[in-house]
Amino acid sequence: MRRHWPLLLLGFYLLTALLAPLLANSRGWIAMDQEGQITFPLFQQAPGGHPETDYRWVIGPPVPYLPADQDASEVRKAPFQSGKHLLGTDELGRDVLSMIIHATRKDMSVAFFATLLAGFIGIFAGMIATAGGSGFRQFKRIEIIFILLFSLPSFFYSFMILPRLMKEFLPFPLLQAFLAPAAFIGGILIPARLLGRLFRRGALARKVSLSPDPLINRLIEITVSIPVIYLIIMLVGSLGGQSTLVLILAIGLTGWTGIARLTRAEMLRIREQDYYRAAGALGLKRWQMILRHAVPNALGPVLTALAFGMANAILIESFLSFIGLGFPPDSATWGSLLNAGRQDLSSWWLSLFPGLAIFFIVLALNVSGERWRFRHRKEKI
Amino acid sequence: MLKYLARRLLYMIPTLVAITLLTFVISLHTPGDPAMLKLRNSEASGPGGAREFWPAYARERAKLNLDMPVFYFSLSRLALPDTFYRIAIPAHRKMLDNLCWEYGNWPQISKYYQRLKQAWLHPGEERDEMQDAALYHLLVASNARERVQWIKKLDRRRFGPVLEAWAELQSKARPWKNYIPSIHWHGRKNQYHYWLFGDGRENKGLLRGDLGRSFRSHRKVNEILSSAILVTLQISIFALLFAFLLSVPSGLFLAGRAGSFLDRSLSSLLFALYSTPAFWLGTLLIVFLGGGDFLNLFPPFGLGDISQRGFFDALLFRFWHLILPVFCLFYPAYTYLTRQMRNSALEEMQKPYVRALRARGIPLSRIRRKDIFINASLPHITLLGSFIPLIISGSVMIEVVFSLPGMGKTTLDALYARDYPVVFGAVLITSAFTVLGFLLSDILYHLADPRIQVKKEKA
Repeated sequence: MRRHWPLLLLGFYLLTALLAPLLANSRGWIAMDQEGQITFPLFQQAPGGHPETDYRWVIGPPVPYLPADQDASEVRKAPFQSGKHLLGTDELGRDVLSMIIHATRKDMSVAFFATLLAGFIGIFAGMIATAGGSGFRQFKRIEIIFILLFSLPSFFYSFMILPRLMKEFLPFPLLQAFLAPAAFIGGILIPARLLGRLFRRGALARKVSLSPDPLINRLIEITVSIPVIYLIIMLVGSLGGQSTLVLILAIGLTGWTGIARLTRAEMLRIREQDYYRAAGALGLKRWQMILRHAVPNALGPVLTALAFGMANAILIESFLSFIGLGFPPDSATWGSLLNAGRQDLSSWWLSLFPGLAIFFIVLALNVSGERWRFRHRKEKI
Repeated sequence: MLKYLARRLLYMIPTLVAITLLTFVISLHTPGDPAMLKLRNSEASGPGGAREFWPAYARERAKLNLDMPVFYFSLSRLALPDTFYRIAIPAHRKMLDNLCWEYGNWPQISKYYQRLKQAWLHPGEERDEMQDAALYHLLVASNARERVQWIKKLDRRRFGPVLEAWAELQSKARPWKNYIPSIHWHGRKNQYHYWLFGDGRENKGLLRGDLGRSFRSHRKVNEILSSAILVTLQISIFALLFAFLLSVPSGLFLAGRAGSFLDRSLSSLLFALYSTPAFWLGTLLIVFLGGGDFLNLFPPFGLGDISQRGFFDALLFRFWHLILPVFCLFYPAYTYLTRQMRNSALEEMQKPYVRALRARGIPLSRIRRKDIFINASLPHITLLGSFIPLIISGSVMIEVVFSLPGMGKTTLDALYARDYPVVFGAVLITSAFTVLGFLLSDILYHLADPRIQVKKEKA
C-alpha cells in the first residue's frame, strides 16, 4: 500500500476531478422535505443556485459550497477562523476548498489532453522520421517535381479555402485544426504519387531517396529554440480565447519535441536489434514488425516521458493561469488562486493550499515516471 | 572537427531565419493592434466616434510602418487586389473581404468603396442621423444581411452615386475568382524587410544590430533589452553557477552512499523539492518571509534603489533583495543536476573498469577522484551548454513573482501591450543563444570524450 502511493494519489485526484460536482455543491444529496418525502436535490434540480432551506434533514456534500458562491459576510476568512470554511475564503467570500476541488477538473483535463496530444504528435513525428524502406522514402524524380509544383496550390486550398468552407459546414475547431494540415500534406503527396505512376520508364522515373528525417529534425530544433513560455503565450494569444481547448492545443503543440526525439532514438535503436531483423527475415511485413516488436519496446521510455510531460503540463498551465494568460483570472483554477494569493499577501491560505494541490499531483507524476523508467530499463522481447 | 563546427554554424543560419519568420508570423496573428493600443481607444463604435478616430488611427498606423505589406510576396485569392494592405481601418478590411467573397469583382467593389468613403467624408450640409448611421454601418458591415438592410435606408437623392456603384457591383459579380490563388510581389517595401535591413531613416535594421524602437515608449529596443539582460544576469549567473558547482559534490556524495538511509532520505527530499513549482515556492517565501504578516526578513519586490548608497552598502542592499529570487532559480536547477550527477556516478561505478581497478587494490577514494569524477561529469558539462539560454532569457516565473525588470518580465509586459519590436528582439536574442548553447554543448561533449564520433545524419 505504501509502495503504491503515487498511483493511489493520482487515482484520488482523478476521482476528485470526476466527482467534483458531487463533492462540493450547495445542493444536498438526499433530503427529506417537510411532507416527509425523500428527494435528491442535487440530482433532481438544476445545479447551482441557493439550496432550498425548508427540509427536515439533508445529507449533503462534504463541502457545501459551489466555487462560484459568493458570501459577502465571510470575506477573506482564514482557515479554521470561520467554522464554515475549512480552507478559508477569498476576497469575494468564495470557499477555497470548493474552488480547489472544482479546479482539479479543469487543470487535470488540460494537462491530460495536452500531454496526449503532444504524445500523438511526438510519436507520429518520431516514426515518420525513421520511416525507411522503399515504399515510403523513395520518390521518383518526376514526383519530386510534382511535389514542388503542388505545394503552393495545396497550401492555398487547404489553409485559405478549406477553413472558410469548414466554417459553414463543419464548425468544429478541433476538426479544422486537424483537417487543414492533413489536407495540405495529402493534397501534395497524393496527386504527386498518382501522377508519378504515369511515368514508368526513363530518366524521370528514377528513384531518389528523400528522407523526412532532416526535415523533422530541423522542425524539432526550431520548436525547441524558441523559449517555450513565449511560444505558448503567443499561441494562446493568436489562437484566441482562454478556453480549455486553446490551452490544450498550445501546451500540446509545444511539448511534442521531447517525445519525438525519444521515439526516433528508440526506433533507430530497435531497428538494429537482432530480434527485429529476425522478425523481418521470417517474413513479417513492416507494419507487423513495427506493431509487434518495435512499439512495445519503444513504449517504455515514451511512457515515462508522458508522465513527466503531464507534470510539466500542469506546471505550465498553472503558471499561465497565474499570470492571467491561462484560464481567466476569475475562474477557479489552481494557478488563478495563486495569483489571487499573490495580490493579497496576507491571505496566506490562498497561496498555500492550491499550491499544495499542484505540488502533490506533480510529485505523484514525477515519482511514477521515475519508477516507470527504472522498471523498464531492460529490454523486452 | 573544424569541419563539423563550420557545418553546424552553417546549419544555424537557416534555423535562425526560420525562427525569425515563425516569430514574425505568430506575433502578427496575435489579436490586438499596436496602433489601436497606442491610441488607448478601442474601436470607437458608432458613427460619431468613428469620424475622429479613423483618421487618427490611419496616421498612427503609417507612423508605425504598419501600412506596408507584411512580406516580400503574399498569397491570396484572385478576387483581392495586391494593394489590399493599404486599407487602413481593420473594420473596412473585414467588410471588403466579405464583399469579395460574395461578389469577387474588385474593380466594382473598389468603386463602391471609394464612393462610400466620399459620401462619408463629405456629408454635405444636411446631417441626417439615419443617413450617417447607414453610411457608417455600410463601411463596417461584415455580412450580407446587414448590408442589404442599410442600403435600403440610403437616401436615393443624396447618395445616388453610391447606389449606382452598388448596383454595378451586384450585376458584374464574379465570385469564382475567390477560388483561384494569386501571388503578389511587393518588392522590398515590406515590414519584414524594413525590420531586417532598416527603413533608411534612423532604423539601421536587424542585420546591423538595430532592433528598432518600442511601440510604447519609443526607447530603442537595444537599450531596453540590455538593461533587462543586466538584471537577469545578476540573478541567473549566481543561481546557475552555484547550482552547477554545488551539484557535483552533492551528486557524488549521494552516489557514494547510495542505498543508505541518508541517501534515500536526501534524494527523496531533493525530489520533493524538484516537484515544487518555483512560482509557488516564491510566493510562499514572499508571504511568509517577505512583506507579509509573518516574518519580515526579505523585501518582497524589486531590486532596491542603490543610487544613494555607497559601494559596499549598495552591494549588500542589492544582495539582500536578490536572495529570494536567486534561491528560487537555484533550487530547481540544483536538484535536477544533483540527481543527474548521482545517477551518472552510479552508472560509472557499475562499469567493469572500476571493478578491475578495485581488484588491483586501488582504494576507492582514488578511483573516485581520478576516474569516476571525470567520467561522470561529462553529461554535466554538456548540460552547461543547454543552460546558457536560460541565463540569458531569465526565468519569467521568478521575475514576475518578484517584480524584477529582467528579460522575462520585460518580454511578457511587451507581449501584453503588443509591443512587437521588444518581443521580437527578446525572442530573437534568446533563440540565438539557445542555438549557440546547443552548439556549445555539442562541442564540449566531443571535446570531452574523443571516442564519440561525429554523427552524420544518415539519409
